[in-house]
Amino acid sequence: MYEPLVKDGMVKGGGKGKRRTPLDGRIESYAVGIYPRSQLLVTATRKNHPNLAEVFRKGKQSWINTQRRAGLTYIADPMIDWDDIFRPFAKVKGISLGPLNRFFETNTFYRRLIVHDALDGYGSIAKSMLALDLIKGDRKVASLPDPYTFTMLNENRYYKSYEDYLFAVADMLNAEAKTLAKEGVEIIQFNAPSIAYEVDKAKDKLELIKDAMARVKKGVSSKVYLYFYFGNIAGIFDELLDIKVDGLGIDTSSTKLLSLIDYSIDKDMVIGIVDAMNTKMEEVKSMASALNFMFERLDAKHIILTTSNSLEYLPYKFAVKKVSVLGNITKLLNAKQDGLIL
Amino acid sequence: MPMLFPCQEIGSLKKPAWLLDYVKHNRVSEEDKERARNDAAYINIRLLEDIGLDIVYDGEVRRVEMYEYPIRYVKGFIFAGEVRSFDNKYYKKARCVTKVALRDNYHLNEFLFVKANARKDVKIPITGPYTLADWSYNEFYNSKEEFVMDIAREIIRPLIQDLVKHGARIIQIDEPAMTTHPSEMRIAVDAINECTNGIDAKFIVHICYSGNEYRALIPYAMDINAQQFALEFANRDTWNLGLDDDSRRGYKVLKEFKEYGYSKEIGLGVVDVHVDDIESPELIRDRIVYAAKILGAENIYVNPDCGLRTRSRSIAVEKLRVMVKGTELARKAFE
Repeated sequence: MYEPLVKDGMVKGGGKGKRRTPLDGRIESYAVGIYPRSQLLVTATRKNHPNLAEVFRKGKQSWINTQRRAGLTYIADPMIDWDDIFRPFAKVKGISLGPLNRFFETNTFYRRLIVHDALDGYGSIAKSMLALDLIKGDRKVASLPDPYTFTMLNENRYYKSYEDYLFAVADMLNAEAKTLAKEGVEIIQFNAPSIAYEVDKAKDKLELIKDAMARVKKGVSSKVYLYFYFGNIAGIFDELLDIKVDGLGIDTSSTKLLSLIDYSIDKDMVIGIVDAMNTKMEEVKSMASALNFMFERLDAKHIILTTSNSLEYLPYKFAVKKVSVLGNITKLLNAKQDGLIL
Repeated sequence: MPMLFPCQEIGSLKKPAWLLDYVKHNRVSEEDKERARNDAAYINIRLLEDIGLDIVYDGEVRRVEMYEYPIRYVKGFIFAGEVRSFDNKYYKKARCVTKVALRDNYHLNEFLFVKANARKDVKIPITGPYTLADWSYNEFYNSKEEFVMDIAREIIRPLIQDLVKHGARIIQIDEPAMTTHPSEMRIAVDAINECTNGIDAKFIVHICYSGNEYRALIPYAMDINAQQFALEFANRDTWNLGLDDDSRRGYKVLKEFKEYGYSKEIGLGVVDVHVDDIESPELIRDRIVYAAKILGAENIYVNPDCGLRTRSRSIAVEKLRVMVKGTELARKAFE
């Protein structure tokens, strides 16, 4: 049974006591994370194509065009050349590659990184792996793992305490984010599945996580968002509102939107509405109607729609359709808001 | 007294290169391709028996892969495309779009061939209902539970019944996805029981690489209608000789099985199928002896962690040979 998380008269998240009209301003959209590879790229990588870099670049261009055609507000590099979300950081001094590990409850695996020395030599790792030149004229968004997830899924053999380890990773991500901001990336979404997956475990470290995110955000001119998926964060949402970031995000297949309507959210809300774990396509009109109803009740600064998580768990042609569905839902909601559709 | 520590394989071996080339060839008739597969199956059966295994199959030489192969023979699924497993490795995933149904017994011919040619006991591996559901996209059923249970009822149970009717006595249900979602363990347990209850055969459940060292399985292990769990341990163990907990850290979790009242057999994974390094017979002996002291020697079967298809045939053969040698040493230790 749903129980309001905020009692009468309580206003959370630095709200001004007066309910905002959430649908002021356009609803925006983006889809970040690792995208699936086309059949052409699957074959090229299997056969170790002699000019793989060029094949990847063409694949990136194709995904960028798909995002543009769908009308997404912000365009992301599709990260199809990232082996997993951590792998590029194996280039950082002090990090080496470890064994394969399952990524949460998916059937996809990542290589655990081993931190064996002080982290150094970072700042342009993410930039070097993103084809930002292909999206020069677009509004840009990028994603990185959040420091808590990074530290929980990789292994520390150097830092004396968890705090030292977490803050070292946060400083590394801060340097990466600053570089991306300088390149004109407007939003950097930090993905935090580890917080959502084991909420109770994360709750014990919440103060440290807040400090770490403050370090990540320090001096970064882009908007910094923290996105939760693979678990329900409704139980700790009031505490998450204190994190000094510009936006929070939820995957609605794990955290129901309904559980957030009693909060006054003085941040942007990124809402994962398109299921990136299943090939079944969302019905655009009914989804837009349901969201319209919810958004009239949701008190957030600004709304951005996205996919539940990265699209890599879907075959290519279904991921293409999902991007289009995301764009169409966003367009329909904005048309309703403009009074073009009753 | 029955022999201690029977040796078995888990399933797949790498297919011989000549077979792959031959079956891909457009000009080769289906009849000739089948003859080639029979030859390869025969070679694998003899190879495994000559190495000294006590329970054998054909190295799954006719199967493309453990998920794709059965899905091809089941109504209700359409292949959706490939998804990355890691790096540049991909696997095909299918969508379930209508109610599932079995077209025909997709393992019958291979089983009959093995039965006719094997001199040792035969164990047939089949992919379990939970894994088939978990590795697919469900677009039809209202819930995961409904989906899994329908696969159990409509596909796997009739398949098992037919295999038993044709003489199958030992059936290994492969469920690598089983402990991936700890919150869904009850569904997986009910599904296996749905497939196996009332059927007169020995059932083995094989699970691997699901994380958390089987702690999700332990509370349910005695509820599952299977006489044995064949599990991977070697990849988490050290290569140091010895019977102390630290040296045998990969097998320490067996103490938790025991504490939970586990009294069935364990198919003990004693060689790591993801590395080319060959374990020594003495290391295998120590792994077996350590496990036998916890669960009782009569409850220990010996096998690789998983199918050896990830290794070259020469490495796989070498690993199986040392597995048999190490088992002989363990038997001596218990004489």
